[in-house]
Amino acid sequence: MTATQTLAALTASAVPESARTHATAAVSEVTAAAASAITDPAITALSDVASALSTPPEAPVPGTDARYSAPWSAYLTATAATLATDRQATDRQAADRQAGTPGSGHGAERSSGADGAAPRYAAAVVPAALAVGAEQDRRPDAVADAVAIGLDVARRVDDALGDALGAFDRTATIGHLAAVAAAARLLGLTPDQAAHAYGIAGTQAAGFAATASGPVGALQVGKAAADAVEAAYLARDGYTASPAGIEGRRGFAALLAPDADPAAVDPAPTVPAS
Amino acid sequence: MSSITADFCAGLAERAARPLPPPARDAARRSLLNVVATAVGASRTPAVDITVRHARRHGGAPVAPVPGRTERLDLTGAALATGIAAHLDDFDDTHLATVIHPGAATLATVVPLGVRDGAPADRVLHAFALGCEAQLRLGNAVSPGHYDAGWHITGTCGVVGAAVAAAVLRGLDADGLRTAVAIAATQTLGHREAFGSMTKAFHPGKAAANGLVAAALAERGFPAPDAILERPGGFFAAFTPEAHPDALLDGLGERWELEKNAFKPYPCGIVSHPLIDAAVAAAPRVPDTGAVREIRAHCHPLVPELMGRIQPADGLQARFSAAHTIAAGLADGELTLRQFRDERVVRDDVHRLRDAVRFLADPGLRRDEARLEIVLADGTEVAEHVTHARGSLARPLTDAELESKARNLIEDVLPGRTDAIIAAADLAAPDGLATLVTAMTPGEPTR
Repeated sequence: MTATQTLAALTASAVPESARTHATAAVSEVTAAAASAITDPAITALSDVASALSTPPEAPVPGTDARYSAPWSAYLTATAATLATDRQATDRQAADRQAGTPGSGHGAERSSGADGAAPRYAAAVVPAALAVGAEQDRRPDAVADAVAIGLDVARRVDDALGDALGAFDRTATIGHLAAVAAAARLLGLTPDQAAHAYGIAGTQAAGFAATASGPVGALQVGKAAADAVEAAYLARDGYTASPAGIEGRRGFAALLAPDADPAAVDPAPTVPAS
Repeated sequence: MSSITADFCAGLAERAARPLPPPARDAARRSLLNVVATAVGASRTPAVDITVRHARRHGGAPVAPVPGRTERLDLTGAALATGIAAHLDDFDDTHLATVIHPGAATLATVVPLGVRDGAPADRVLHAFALGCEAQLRLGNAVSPGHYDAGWHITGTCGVVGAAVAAAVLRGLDADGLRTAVAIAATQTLGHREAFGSMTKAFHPGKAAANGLVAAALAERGFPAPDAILERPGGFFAAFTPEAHPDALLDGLGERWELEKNAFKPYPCGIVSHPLIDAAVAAAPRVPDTGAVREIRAHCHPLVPELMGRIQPADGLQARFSAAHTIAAGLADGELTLRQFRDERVVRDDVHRLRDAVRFLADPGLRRDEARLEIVLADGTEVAEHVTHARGSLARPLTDAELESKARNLIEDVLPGRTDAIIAAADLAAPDGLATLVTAMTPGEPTR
């Protein structure tokens, strides 16, 4: 099986109870983070753009009474959540510097990799799952399963390609694949449709590590969530992409992480317990 | 604040404040007509159907048209559908040096936004020209390494061009343009892996949607970093092994890359075009193609390399079969979308003619040059030498040829509308955009 086939099949996999519990915690955490940043001027600007399009009220955004289309709900929630964690991390680093305790590891909650900080894929995965889950009227445990699958996809792609991503923002780029896995799960895509969804989302992977901090960096992650939701709907409706979007000669891995081997993506057929 | 990115945006803003010079205006008019025609021509295809359905279900208030269709969609939905249609048949404008198709994403930006805002037609054409110019200059700055590495440059540079077009149409100043470009540069898309699927055309469509959002955020004061193109870890560093940032500013406002935008006369791979010119020119002298014994195609070595397939199975494969393009051009005396329909591709007459084609690759021939020798059963030989293919830089399509191409594309979808579309597509009258949209919309009486 190719990487795309493995990850497509995974979207239909059973989710162990421990992974679901872990995912449920991620949902709470991302929801709270998003709500805490919702009045930031950058998020206000983004929600203003969304409102101007007057999309149908399919899904909520934490911390507001407003509802937006599923892609825009994902966009707003993921951007706000990323902005919040980015600010917390920046504040903590400043406090650490003042206290003279460098390298305490709190930087791990920053959004990207240029400075060695760990990516936060939940910020892309959870908003995509919440948005499609709301639009599809799915129960919380179904949303949690989708999040668990998305996080597992993120782990596998990050293990194989993450260190080779170079100039690109890990959370935003790999986040496209992770978030589309969650959306594909909730829409019940066939493995074939899911492969196309990975292709449509993967070709949109963008954002730089150098701009990963701050409002534009938050937008990079929001974009991953929104693009993923749209990609999953389009694939469900028959939109086609390359069936080798991840490992193809001109695909995701070759362009974003040319020094890595996409065949190294963990081929295990099920979501592991966490 | 001075940086290459800031200077580029200041130059674009400065250019936006002055009227388009006549040659640039003419180039914009021709690019616009060509891409309107390709957008109408592919407007009823499955890729566009799916996108329109998606936008109707999940999109917002229907404020913007889609060329060739009755539905109205929200701004970004119309942009996505328009950009997909414009590029789907690979028949849109091509800037030969970068292989960017700048018209698709830019049309898909300025028509929805111009209609929503009721923008004056000259401003729409101006925004279209500068959106194309910005992405072509960015393309020059990253070529050839960026495309060679596997990026679909029409998508990656298209987002920036779309953001510039939207920002100009909204009247943003240099700083607003800089912000829009900064956001757009972090929202690029386009892997060449998508070639051969619907996702290739998705690239300029989504580029337009992203550019619209980037400009809307810039207008609302969204904070963005400076020097996005040249900063360490920015656009150039991420996307190309070797950038030429000077290309952004070199003669900006005076010299127009848009004037080098070319139009394909045939809906297939460009390397075969000189051979097609020769076949179409020879056709009247070969009234009975059943008498053809051999076709010797003297051509640039890229022809057999990129389009060497002799017997394509369907229309899509036929677009990359130089043998088919010669055979159908010779048999039908033309090469339009009709010659790439599946039923035409599998007919016996072209099957037999394709088998008669022999490629004689000659590195001494230019890419836009070819010689065709057709040997008939009685031993006579019909020869045609093409020094510069139609649609090349040395031999651009004439206005009459461009209009003929547009007619072929439009009449199948909107019978009787070609003249109205051609008349409106120069956007000369103040309400020209509304007139053009009416002409492109089925069922609406033309004005």
